[in-house]
Amino acid sequence: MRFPASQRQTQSRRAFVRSLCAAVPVFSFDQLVSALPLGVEFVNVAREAGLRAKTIFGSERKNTYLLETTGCGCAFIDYDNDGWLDIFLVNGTRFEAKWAPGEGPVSRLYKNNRDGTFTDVTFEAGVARGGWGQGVCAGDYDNDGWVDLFVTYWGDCALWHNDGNGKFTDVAKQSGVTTDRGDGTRRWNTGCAFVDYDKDGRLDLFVANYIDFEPKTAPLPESVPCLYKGLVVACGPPGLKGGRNILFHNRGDGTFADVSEKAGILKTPGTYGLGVLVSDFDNDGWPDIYVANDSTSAALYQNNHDGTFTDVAIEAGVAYSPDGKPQAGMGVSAIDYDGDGNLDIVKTNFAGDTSSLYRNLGKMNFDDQTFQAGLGKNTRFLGWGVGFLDFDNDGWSDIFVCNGHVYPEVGETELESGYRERKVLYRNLGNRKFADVSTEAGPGILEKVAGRGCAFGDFDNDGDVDVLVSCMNDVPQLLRCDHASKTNWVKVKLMGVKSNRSGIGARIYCITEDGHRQMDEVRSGGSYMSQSDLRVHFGLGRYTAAKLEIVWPSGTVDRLSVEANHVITVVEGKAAAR
Amino acid sequence: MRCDWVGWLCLLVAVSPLPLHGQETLAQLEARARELRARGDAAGSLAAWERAAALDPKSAGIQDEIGFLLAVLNRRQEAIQHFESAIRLDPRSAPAHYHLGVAYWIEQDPNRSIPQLQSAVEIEPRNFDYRFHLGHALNATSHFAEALEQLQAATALNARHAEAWNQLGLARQNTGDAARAVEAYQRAVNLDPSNLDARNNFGFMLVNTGRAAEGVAQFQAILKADPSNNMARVNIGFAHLQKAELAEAETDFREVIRRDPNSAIAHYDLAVALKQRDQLEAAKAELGRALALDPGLADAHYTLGIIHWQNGDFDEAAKEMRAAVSIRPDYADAHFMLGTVLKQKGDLEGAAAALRAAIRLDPHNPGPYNTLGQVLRQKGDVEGSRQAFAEGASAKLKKEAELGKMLQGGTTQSAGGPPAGKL
Repeated sequence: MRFPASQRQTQSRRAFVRSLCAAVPVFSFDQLVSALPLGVEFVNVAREAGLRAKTIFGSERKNTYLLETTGCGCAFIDYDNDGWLDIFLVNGTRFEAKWAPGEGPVSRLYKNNRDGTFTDVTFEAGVARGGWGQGVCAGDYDNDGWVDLFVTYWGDCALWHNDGNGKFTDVAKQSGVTTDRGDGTRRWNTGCAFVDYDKDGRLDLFVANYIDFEPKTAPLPESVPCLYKGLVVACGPPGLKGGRNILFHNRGDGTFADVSEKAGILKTPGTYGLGVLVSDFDNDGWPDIYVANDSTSAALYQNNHDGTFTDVAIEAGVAYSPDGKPQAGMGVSAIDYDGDGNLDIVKTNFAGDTSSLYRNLGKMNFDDQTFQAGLGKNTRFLGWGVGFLDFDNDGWSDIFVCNGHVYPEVGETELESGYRERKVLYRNLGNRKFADVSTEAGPGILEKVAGRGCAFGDFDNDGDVDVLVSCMNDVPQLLRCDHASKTNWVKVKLMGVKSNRSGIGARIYCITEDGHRQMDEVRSGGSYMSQSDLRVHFGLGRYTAAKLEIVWPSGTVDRLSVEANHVITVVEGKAAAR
Repeated sequence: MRCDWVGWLCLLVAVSPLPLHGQETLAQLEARARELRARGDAAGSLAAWERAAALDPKSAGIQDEIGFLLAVLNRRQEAIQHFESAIRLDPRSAPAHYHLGVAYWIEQDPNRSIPQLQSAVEIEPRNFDYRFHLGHALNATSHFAEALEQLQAATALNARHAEAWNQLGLARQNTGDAARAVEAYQRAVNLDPSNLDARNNFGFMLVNTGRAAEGVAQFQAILKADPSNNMARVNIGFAHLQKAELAEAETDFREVIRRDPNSAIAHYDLAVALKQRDQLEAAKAELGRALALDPGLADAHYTLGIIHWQNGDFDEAAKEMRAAVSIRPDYADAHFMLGTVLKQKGDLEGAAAALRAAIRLDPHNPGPYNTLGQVLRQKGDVEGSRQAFAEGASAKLKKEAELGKMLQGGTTQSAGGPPAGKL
């Protein structure tokens, strides 16, 4: 495409700084870019927006079981296809509570009123289910044009079929995805993702599992005792039996078959699986699955193109910390943060550790670049939800980390950073390095909560990426991203035809006039057991137009030119944007 | 004269010599030697025993007595020769084995000491001193399981010996029995409130078993007994550090430094507190001060290396890790980190060597195997890489199985998500 001459003459802020750096060598490029004002702040507008229901999850001050500590995921979805993101918040429960009928905590669905507020439609929509809810992922598994939800539980999961009339029906049992073992024991299902792993145009389903847990047999904190920094706390997961992940194949008739064994998923021993991330890491056109495991090596299931997977995490270099130690993996996200054409991984970990940044070198080889990239200096936070997001729309994906300690027993002491912790926001400097800009990014980043899952999406359609945060025994946060000045962006919504209707697994390239080539995929699941906007967002910096190339799971490639600051809907095989 | 025959008879008091008699019999000489020893006249007693030895050169007992007195007179090498002579004359002489074992111990030769103490215990299993000293020596050489057996027997033989309970606590602590270690330390402190070493151990175990306030109270009791005991202040800071009460820990260590600016360990601990608060530059400065005061502080080099590593400064990190292993060649973690840093620097040969050293020193740690696997993979050694990963997986499984046993068996574990190897 041709770009207007005026635009060609416009320098980006980054280019300006780069030229300045060349002229004034006394400052490094990093220092100069880091010193630029953010011009962006995150503000928590949950209360004004009407997100008032608390997420209940275990006892507030002292936990007996690990089940009480892990919290819930959340989702930005457009369940009514009106072009505005709605909100789904998974809810949990509490062992000691005796809820009156109809008063127990239930997962919540909030409809976007398109004016910055939401209406609680949980009961009208029929999704008011209680229990030990965990994670959520979205995808139109029956290709009817309405996005469905899978919600994981300790116990039977829910597959909320979107009926297209504002209501959902739980079809987990009849679809064969309840995860009920049938022997009275309950699975602890956690992160999930819809994925068309065999590229038959229908979304299959991957469900991570944490530990095999039953309160009657679980070790009690005082009986062992289980200690953390001298505090008696819930035991595990080290020493407990890890859960086995599950892969369900979509038969295309509304039912699923458990193919975990056949697909090779069970070859990975029981691990403490939490966050699930699906991406084509080796650029072979087939989705691979990365699982953040708590306290043990992560798993990377490489797609063998024949319905099977091989766990290559150790060989690929994404299983451990840079010194070969297992980490307490929680949340995960992927993006090509350095523009080299490979999808990289960020993973959150425990306190006393850093988040991990794995740079994809290609051909399923990764290098842990955490320290080189500048992510090595924050060790006092305990990370959960995480996402690559371009918060300043400069065309380089930044990193948002949602934190909160596992153990409420740490209270508000200085133990690490206390039970409630602030977020961490890293700005991508465009040279494979990041700067911690948390303290400049507004009150929403600095407000301390016991955060768990978080989802990313532009709920007010103003062209930036907002963040939804699920908090332990608290109301959620809705962090609205406010820009001081206008920035350019484009958002892409896909509608599959041969491929699955949600376009999940499609890869989108976005190229601006300066040749900067961004890349992302439509992704189900991710972060910490959460679902972000299925629309893919690209910041364009100063550029008011871009070229898009969409590679669908079916192999179809669509190319189009777009103007900035629009949501573009692309139907597979019909390159003209709607 | 100086008496450093630790824990033994040390009866050097001014005495008037007994009159000598003409031709004494062996029995008379022995009686006089014992009398002189009882009066604290070591030199006189030794002379009498030497004359007795001339009359009865085959007596193991006389050789042992001579050795004992030589040791009291700080003539240790000669003493050892006489103990050895006694054992040659009578291999079943328990006192001679015991004395020789203690003499070797004082000579800082545990490899020769412990077998002698073991022989003494084997010959006279109901002797408290033999059991106690053997247990003590085994603790001191990190043979805690074997020490446990000896000290349990020793405390059964003499339940009023405070130091024996202190040593039993140490053995229990290091064999994973935290709850009973606390009991043993408590008993030691109750029997001898002035045993500050036992009180210190008791305090640490209280902190480490979730009774931090009680632990700090023990350290404060030490300070009350000995206000100049800066180490107790360091321990209070360390207790706060363990509890991650980092501001309090920082205050404690700064107070220690105010009282003793040359305390390298206080500067080091302060650096650790600062580092845990992610105040990396301040931590670096304190580590610099610690190392200026004590360049041999391997942990300070290691921690400084970790900070450089976190900052992505791999050259400096490697330099510090090299310094740490040159000071402590058996520092497995430092070899491991050196290997990691060299790998990240692209020095695959150096990395492999350092990682192999780490594995040799600590074969139960899965980390070095995994990193070595990565290094070998980068070098194109696919088979070697597979083998390293497999060995790492095996070490990991063993560790997990041990943890599982601990959970089921009710012994203390560091719970929750934090796997080994924190920054």
